[in-house]
Parts: sequence; C-alpha cells; structure tokens
Amino acid sequence: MASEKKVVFLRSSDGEAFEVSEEVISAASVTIKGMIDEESPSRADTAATTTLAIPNVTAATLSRVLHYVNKHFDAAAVVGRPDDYIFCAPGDEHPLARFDDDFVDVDNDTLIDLVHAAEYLHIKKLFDLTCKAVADKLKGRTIDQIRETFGIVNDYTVEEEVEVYRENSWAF
Amino acid sequence: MAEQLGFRCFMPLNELCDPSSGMVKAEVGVHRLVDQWEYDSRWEMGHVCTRNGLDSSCMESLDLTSYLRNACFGLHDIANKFQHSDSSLVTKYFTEPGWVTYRSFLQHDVQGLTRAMCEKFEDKAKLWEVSNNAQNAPMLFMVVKLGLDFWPLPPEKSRGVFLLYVKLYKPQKEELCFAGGLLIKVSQKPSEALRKLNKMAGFMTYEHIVEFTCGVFLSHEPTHGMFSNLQRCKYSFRSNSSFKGYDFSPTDASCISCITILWNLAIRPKNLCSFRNNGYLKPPLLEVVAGKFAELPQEILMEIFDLLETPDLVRAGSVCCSWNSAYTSTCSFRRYKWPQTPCLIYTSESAGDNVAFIYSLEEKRAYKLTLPEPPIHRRYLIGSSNGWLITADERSEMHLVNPITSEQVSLPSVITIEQVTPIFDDNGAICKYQYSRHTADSVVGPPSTYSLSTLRDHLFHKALLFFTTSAGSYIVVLIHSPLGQLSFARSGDEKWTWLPPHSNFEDCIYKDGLLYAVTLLGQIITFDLSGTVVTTKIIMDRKDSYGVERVYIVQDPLGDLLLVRRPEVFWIKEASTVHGHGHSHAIFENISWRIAIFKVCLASRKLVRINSLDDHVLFLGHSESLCLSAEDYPQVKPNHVYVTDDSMSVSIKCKLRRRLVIGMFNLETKIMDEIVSPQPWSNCMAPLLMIPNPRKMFLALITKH
Repeated sequence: MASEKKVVFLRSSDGEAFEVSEEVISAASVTIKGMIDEESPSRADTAATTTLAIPNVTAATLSRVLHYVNKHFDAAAVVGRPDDYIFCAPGDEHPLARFDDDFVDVDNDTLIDLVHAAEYLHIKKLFDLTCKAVADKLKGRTIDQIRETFGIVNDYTVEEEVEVYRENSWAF
Repeated sequence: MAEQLGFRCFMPLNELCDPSSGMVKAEVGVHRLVDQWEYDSRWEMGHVCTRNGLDSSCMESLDLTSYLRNACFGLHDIANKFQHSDSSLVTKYFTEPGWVTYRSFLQHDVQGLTRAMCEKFEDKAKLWEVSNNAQNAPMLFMVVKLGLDFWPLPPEKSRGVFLLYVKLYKPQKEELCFAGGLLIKVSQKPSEALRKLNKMAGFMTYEHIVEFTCGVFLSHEPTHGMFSNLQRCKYSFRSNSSFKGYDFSPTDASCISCITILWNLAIRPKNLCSFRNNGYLKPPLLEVVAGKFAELPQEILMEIFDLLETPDLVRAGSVCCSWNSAYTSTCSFRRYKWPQTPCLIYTSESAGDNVAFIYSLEEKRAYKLTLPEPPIHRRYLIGSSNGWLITADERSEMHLVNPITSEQVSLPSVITIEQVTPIFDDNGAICKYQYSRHTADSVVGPPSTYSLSTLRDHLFHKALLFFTTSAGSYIVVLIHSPLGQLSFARSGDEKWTWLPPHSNFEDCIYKDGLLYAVTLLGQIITFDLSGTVVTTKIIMDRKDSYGVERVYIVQDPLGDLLLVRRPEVFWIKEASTVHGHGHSHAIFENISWRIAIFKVCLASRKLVRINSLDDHVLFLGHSESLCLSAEDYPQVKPNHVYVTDDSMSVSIKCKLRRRLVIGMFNLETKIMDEIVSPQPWSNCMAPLLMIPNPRKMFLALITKH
C-alpha cells in the first residue's frame, strides 16, 4: 500500500489498537465513516493519525471484522467501485464466497460477537452474512436442539408454554 | 483417583497436558499466545447449560466437601470434553446418564456444587477489594457476562429479588479488581442495576457494561432449607448500607421449591493453574458466560428470523419468551420480500378429517396441521395465494383458511353467485342448488339442479385471494362456470359481485392495484376493483386458437408479465393405487408434456415465446401462479415448472383415485418428475402448492366484530 494512504487506528474495548486504511473502513462501516467525518475538521492533514475508540467491540472480534473489511472492501476500492460488491449466488466461484463461508464457520459466541459488531459498526454486508450464518444454524433444528446449541433457557410460565405449544407444536 | 484430586503443588504445564496424568489432556493451556486468526474458542472454552430444579430434601445431609471435590472433578472432565469436542456440551452431561459416563456424577453433585458455590459467594461478597494474589483469589467464582439485558434471568413474572454477585475482571490485565454483590429487584431495569454497579466500583455511571463480568445467582423468590447459605448472605448484606431494601424474611422463605439456575460454564485452560498447595484440590476459577444468544436484541433477532423458512421460524420462535416476541413481531411486520419455499398442502384419508399436511419442498418433510371445522379432508381446495387456502366444503360454501395460523374466514354464500339459486325444502332449509348456465349475453346450456355437495364439482374453476394495500382488506376473485366467468368479493362483502360481460377467464393476478385476468384466447383484461364502480379495460385483445388447455398469467421477478399455456392432461393410465408403482411411473414419464411460455409485450400486444426461464421457476396450478428466482429459494430447481393438477376433471380424478399430475417439469430436458413419490395424499382433493405464511391477518378484524 502506498505510504500516503491515510490510516486510522481503532481501539477495541479491551484497549488493543488496530490499523486500517481510512478509505477502506469508511467504505465499509457507516459508523466509523461518521466518526471520521466528525473528527476531520478538527484534525490537520499532517497531524498524527486518528485513533477511534470502538468501545463495544473486543480485540478478538475487531480483528476478525477488519480482516473481513480488508478482504471485501479493499479489493473493491482497487477496482474503484467500493459499494458494488455483488453477493454471489450459491455455486458461484466467486473468490470471496469461500472466504465468507470460512469466515462465519466459527463457534456461536464468536459469531454472535460478529453480529453485534457488524450491527454496531453498520457494516451491512457483514451483518447480512452473519445473520445468514445464524439463520443457517437454526435451520432444521428442533426446539431443544436450538436451546442446547445456543444456551437458551426455556423461560415460559406454564400457561405461556401451553399456549406456545398449542399454536406452534405442528412445527416441532 | 484420590491422588489425582490431591494436587500438592503447582504442576508444570507439560505435566498438566499429559493425558496419562489424569484429567487434562493435550491442548489444554497450550494456546497461550493467542493468534487471532488461529484462535478458535472451541478449543479454549465451552458451555454447559443446566436448568437445575433443586429439591430441598436432598441437600441437608450431604458432605459438601466431598461433593465439591467430586463436582470439581466432574467439571474437569467436562472441561476436558470441551477441549476435545467440536460441539458444545449439552444439558445431558449434567444429568444422571451423562454423569454415569463421567464418573457417576449425579444430579445431587450438581446441587452440592451449587451449594458450595453459594458459600463461596457468601465469602466473596463480603470482599470489597480482591487482589489477584493467588492466595486471596476466589477459588470458585460463577461469573456471568453481563450483556445489555439480564434476560432470561430472572423470569419476568416472578416478584422476587435476586442477588447479583459481581466481579470486575480486566481481561487485558487478567486481573480481578473488584468483587461485590448487589440486590436487584426483578422489576428493575438492567441498566439501572448497571449504573449502581458502576458506582459501587467507582466507575463512571455509563461505563461500558461489558467490562463487568458478573455472577448472577438466583432465585425467583425467597427460599429456605438448602439455601440457608443464601440467607446468610443476606444478613451480611444487611449489615451493609448499600443493600437497603432487601428483605428476606424467613417466613416467606418457603414459597417456592424450585430455583432455576442458569449458567454456562466456560473453563479457560489458564485457570487450570490455580491449584494450590493446600493439601486438597482447589478448583479452578470457573467462568460462567450467559448464552449470548438469549441476549440478542429484538431487532437483530428479527433480521435473523426474516431469513428463516416458516417451520424453522415457528420453531425458533418457540424457544423462549424473548425469541417468541421477536417471532410475533417478525410475523406482523413481515417484509414484502420474504423468500419462502412453496409447500404442497394435501390431506390424507388415513389421518383425521381435520388434518392437513404441509410438505416442505425445502426440508422434504411433511408437517401435520389440525384445522378448524368444517373438515378440511372433505373440502375442495380451489385456490391458494399469500399463504391462504380457499376451500369449498360439502355444502359448496367457501372459506379462507390459513393452515399455519388456523385463522379462518367465511366467504359470502355460494347462493349469492349470479348463476346459483337456492332450492328450499319444506322446512325452509336449503336442500339443493339450481345452477343456471348463462353468461351476460347468452345461455350456454340448460339449467341443472345439484345437491349441496355436487355443485362444487361443476361450479368452481379457480379462486384467488389478493391483499390490497389497506391493512387487513382483501379481494377474493372466483373464476367459475359456465365459461370461466369472474365474480369477486371484497372483505366485508355479503355477496359475490359478478363481473360481466367477459368470459373464458383462466387465471388472474393482482398487480399495482389492478386485477389482470387472462382468457383462454390470450386476452388480458384489467379490472380496477378499488372503487364502487368497476372499471374494465382490455389491455391486450387477442383471439389465439386454443385447445383443451389451461392458461396462466404470472409476473416474473423482473416485473414482466408471462403467459403460460399448458394442455390439460386427463387420465394417466394405471394410476390406480393397486398397481405397481414402477409401471405407472413409466407411464407418467412417457407422457409428452408441452408447456408454452410467452413473454407478454403490452405495448406491441405481442406474445414472445421463450424456451428457457434461466434461473427462474414457475409454480402453476390451482394456486396463485408464481414465478420466483431460484437464487432466493435454493431448494427449488431453476428452469423448472412446478405444477399441481388443475384440470377440469380433477375432482373426478380424485374420487376415482386416478393419478394426479403433481410434478416438476424440466424445461430443458422436457422431462416431468414427481415432486413427492410415492404420493402421500390419498382419496382427497388435489394438493396445492402454497407458500406458508405465519402472519395473523385477521386478528384485528376478528376481535373487532
């Protein structure tokens, strides 16, 4: 990467800082773009690089997110159409399809951290991707399997449970 | 075994990792330098979730020390299991059969552990400052990561107070810098509790809550007996002015016998080093991480639920209160574009009269639904759209029914149709129908008299339901004999409104507020049904030649209109169920199917024949004609036409148990395959394709009346 490229530092909730190209992250994250825009008037062009606090995202998650962002948005920036990435159809040999599959092939907690991070950072594609991954984990599972997989406790009262059972038991 | 339990000194890590030394196998503790890309938390921690119904009777006599040791030992095994299993561990490992495998660890042991934890908590709760000094560090700490909400603890409807044990744990320094307890009213908002916590710990009030890891303990309501420890906790709290308002009195302590404890245990290998040279096993720190999925905000849940097929959605929407409310919202704010794979709906002689089946093309399995009276098995399915079925019962009366929600609406009586007149018996009850074969400008045959149940064999052709833009209002359009005429009924109408003078209608769709109807001759006529006066416009006037065929009109995903002609297939030989299946299948496949698809060019009034749908899929039959993009529906095959039997003689075919045409036609190879084989429906009306819709449409309307 050319050295003139502006970079920003993102500081995770647990204090780790990550370097990322300003152009790339602005294309990816609406939230960070907003932060940068807010910062920019107050900062001279030659000034030291900006550090933005991302208080809701841990280092582990943030580094994954940035990995995704660099894969998806940096490549797009090179061909000059940052927002034009086409989500590929199943079976398409899009180079990033494989990357995306691997990216969301993580345990539930990591995945849910990614969902939260994507939502907080407003990275639509990542949000869609991770939501889809969660939805895929729900597919074809019984209620008990869902509860077990995701650590959810059945917190219905007896009456509520009877009602839910009455309405929905056809699908169980 | 005792030796294994009695660590007397810190062990070198490589010994800990040696499987022959007992509980801990390789992998443990080796990921010390975490590379974010190599890092896989499956190898680092896992979860156990238990819902523990504690029974007070079994607690008092236990030797807690030994149980604690067993418990910890058992947990080590679970920890070990976590670290060597790709999937998370489940509740059963905490129940008897699970523990039999894992050193006969019983439910009692879990309770023992619970109690021991209580005790430890009691000690710890007195500490306001805890250093990370190994000597002072708590030996056992249940820690729950505090998310945006305490959901699902505690259950919303309980009236109790619960204790929150807190430690502040700084991950970057691996340091425990604060421990304390707080009583929280169930009615209190989590954010308020957090503010208090922050204050207690000397942080800014709105400091980010993820900094806290908290132990949540407890009961819906005060208890006693086995949790005498808990009550002791309360006294120590009482002495502290920070915990005002807490009032456990022993008298109300017995009101509930069950305590629900949720914890997900996550055991980090580094904690395995916290054995101490005390002559007996000191358990490692246990971190308890609440299921993050239970904490998902409703908006995110709804985004996820939007991606699910109806059966998956219904199941996911049933797991807990929070998910259930997201499910309800998802159903009521359903997006326009909601990819749902069509299902086949059918009934079966062997199931009950009120039972219908939905066969999911996506999951390739059938779901059994019980529908309201009159019996669905004896109704004709004359149409389906937007997840609703239109049925004709044994009195030839029509209903709208949504099989998913069991909502049902009666449509105006059949006797309000232009060509039908009731015949009354001596008691003034309708006993027969007089059916006149007239159109607006001619009489096409002599009138007939039909019994209540046979009118439907002759009258109905196809029915469609369209929702209009205003909430809850709909139009049902009926194509009926003689000569394919149109009648419609709007929501709230008492009668069917005839739409003369055109006839020979075959199919219609509702697009941009207009009804587009297509005739056998290829005419396309629009009707504006929104006002009191119906305006009719022939937008394409053609006089195509036609055979005995069905014509469909459908809008493709790009917005273009398609016109489809499909010759009717009458009898398929050897369809009787008595004969061997292989034989009839051959016959089925040998039929030459001809389905002609045209793109409608309204401007030039021309039809352009197309030979391929590319990645689109057509669904044709008595249901609303659909053209979908296969990309959105991975389980349906692109460039195929899914058909259900809608020939004029279909009701007779059904009665005679002839083979029905329920297939998927490959436009490239021109081969028709059956959608389900062997056919699960029996002696019932022809199955339909429909898209399940869990939305309760008429809830508001029904309650209003």
